[in-house]
Amino acid sequence: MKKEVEIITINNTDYMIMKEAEHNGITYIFLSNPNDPADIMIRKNSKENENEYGPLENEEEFNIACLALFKDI
Amino acid sequence: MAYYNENSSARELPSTRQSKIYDMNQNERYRRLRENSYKEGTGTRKREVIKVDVEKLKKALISIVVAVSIATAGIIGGGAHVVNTLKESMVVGENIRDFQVEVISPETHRTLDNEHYYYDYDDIARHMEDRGQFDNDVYYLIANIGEFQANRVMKYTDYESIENYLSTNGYEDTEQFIDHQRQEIVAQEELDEKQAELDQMNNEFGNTTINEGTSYGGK
Repeated sequence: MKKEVEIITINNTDYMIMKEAEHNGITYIFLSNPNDPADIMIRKNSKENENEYGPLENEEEFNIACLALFKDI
Repeated sequence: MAYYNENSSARELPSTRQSKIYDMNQNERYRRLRENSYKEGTGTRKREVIKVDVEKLKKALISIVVAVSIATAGIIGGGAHVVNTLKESMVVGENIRDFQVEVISPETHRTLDNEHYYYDYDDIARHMEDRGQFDNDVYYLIANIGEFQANRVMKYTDYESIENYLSTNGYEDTEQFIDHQRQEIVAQEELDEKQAELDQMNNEFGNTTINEGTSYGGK
């Protein structure tokens, strides 16, 4: 099955953007590798470039991202 | 002294249920999500046509939502740890009481001298088979009447004993099973609340679409 989706290439691997949520001006995205559903991560955009997404900084930010993406805080 | 009602008629046991392994993937996926989210590496969004195995993605999405729901229940409850939240106590406690009312009480009878009571083990087992949530019901059974009596009920199921049930499903002991089931029960409650959102995701990723002639030039 072929489908047009938004992807992000991180470390030479393409990831589908499966979900996104905004909290306090930051957009968090939940990514899944289409070739490996167990390869998943959350990324956030940077203030300097809204289209560029990088890693989370710490446990607190990870918890916030999870809540924003999956608990509608 | 409780005794078994020997007059219960024998019944044909249903075919053997497919065994399942204790699911470590949920915790493993959550662990990978955390570790990968801190890893170095940035990227820019772009739109591209790619091949996706939608069924695998849907399963991955559902399992990670379950894992994160468990974690967020712990976060909201005041700690980064799973279980022992107020919500868990409420949800699980309510379900245990419901099982008592719907399954145990109707099959609890007084002895002829009216001084003791006994369970109709065969009928309790039949109710559990019929309810369609067997794993949860094994937990509720133990919670209501204890492991010793529960084992007598299990004799009239496919598994024939709690020990066989635990080993078939990959549990090391009763405590591990109880911990897992409590998490599952709360996670199911969380999932039910998120069902509308999941339905939307399934609709978005479940539709066959476009342009079979376009090839993917990615990695």
